[in-house]
Amino acid sequence: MLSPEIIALMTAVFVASIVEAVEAFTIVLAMGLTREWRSTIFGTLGGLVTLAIVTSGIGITLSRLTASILGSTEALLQFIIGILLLVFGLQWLRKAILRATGLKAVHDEDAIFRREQEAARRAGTETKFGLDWFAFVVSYKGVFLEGMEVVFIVITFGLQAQRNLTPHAMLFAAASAMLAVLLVGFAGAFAHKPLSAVPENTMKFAVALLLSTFGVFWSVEGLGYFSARRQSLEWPIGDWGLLLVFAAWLLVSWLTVAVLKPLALRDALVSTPTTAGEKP
Amino acid sequence: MTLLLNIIVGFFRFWYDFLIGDCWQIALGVACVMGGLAFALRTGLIAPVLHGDEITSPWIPLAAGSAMLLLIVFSVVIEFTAKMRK
Repeated sequence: MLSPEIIALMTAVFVASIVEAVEAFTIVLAMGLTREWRSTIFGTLGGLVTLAIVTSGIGITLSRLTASILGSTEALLQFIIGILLLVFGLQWLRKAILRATGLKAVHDEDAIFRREQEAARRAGTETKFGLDWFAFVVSYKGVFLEGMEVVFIVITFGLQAQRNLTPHAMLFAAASAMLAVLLVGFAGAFAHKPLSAVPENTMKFAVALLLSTFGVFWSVEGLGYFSARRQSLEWPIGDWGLLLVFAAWLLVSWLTVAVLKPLALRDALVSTPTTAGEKP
Repeated sequence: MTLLLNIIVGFFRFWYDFLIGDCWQIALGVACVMGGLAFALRTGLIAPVLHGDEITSPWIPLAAGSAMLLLIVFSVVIEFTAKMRK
């Protein structure tokens, strides 16, 4: 039976991976169709291999490090992971709220695809190791940079879930990410065009809410390390605190959007969907 | 030497952009709130309640959670007012 923590972990990783895979797919497709497929595929595989090495390298190192150095100070680990997730999640949430109010351009995969194709057409033809270097580098960077966000979520969530006596949490997280990448890969190969029908902006909002929720929950628990007893602080309502925090984030985000959206529309501050190729 | 420096600068820039991004106020706010609460707990200004083997407190989650909610609203309002001025 999967624990609520594992279900949340897998959901967050799966949804985040879908979003990032869709973005990476747009770049890869633009390179493949405009430049050439062989170099693009090599770049994509290179990015995936680098991600796998980085994930296993950081994951194994951190697992051993936390077991040996922080073995008796679980609360400190909770605090560090909570803070990292909180800072990362709040950046996502801020951008998601700005997009929902119209203050920031929403992600538009079709527009990004056109921009990437235009850049690919303008770029010169440099050949290295028998590869179209532009197609290789852009595909490699696209896959690696989009994937790093997923790696960060997999490692932070997985490490914490593993500490909470959920064995193989990191494997569950990695499996969710791989499933998402395969799904996007198959859908993309079938559609042969940018997957703009995927509700990326809504999905990003959901991931941001989850990251911020766990960030607050774990960092508060970890604050107990600084008390005289140096142990995790329990929420007064136990794990129900997670639902409470999630509801609070949802309510405040919704209220902020509800208040600011009409003001932005009134003052014509709304950004039109453009080539928002930035992170997250 | 220049190459090494570029690699070091690139490494830190990557992680700065990755974690802090374009709104440093969020990272600073989180550091201040959580650092402040950690300091208050360490120095005994606030103390959790002992409940069996566990420690708990209604005020610490409330203070941290409310501060984070205010922080996100604040960061969005900063962006909104900046756009208004343009």
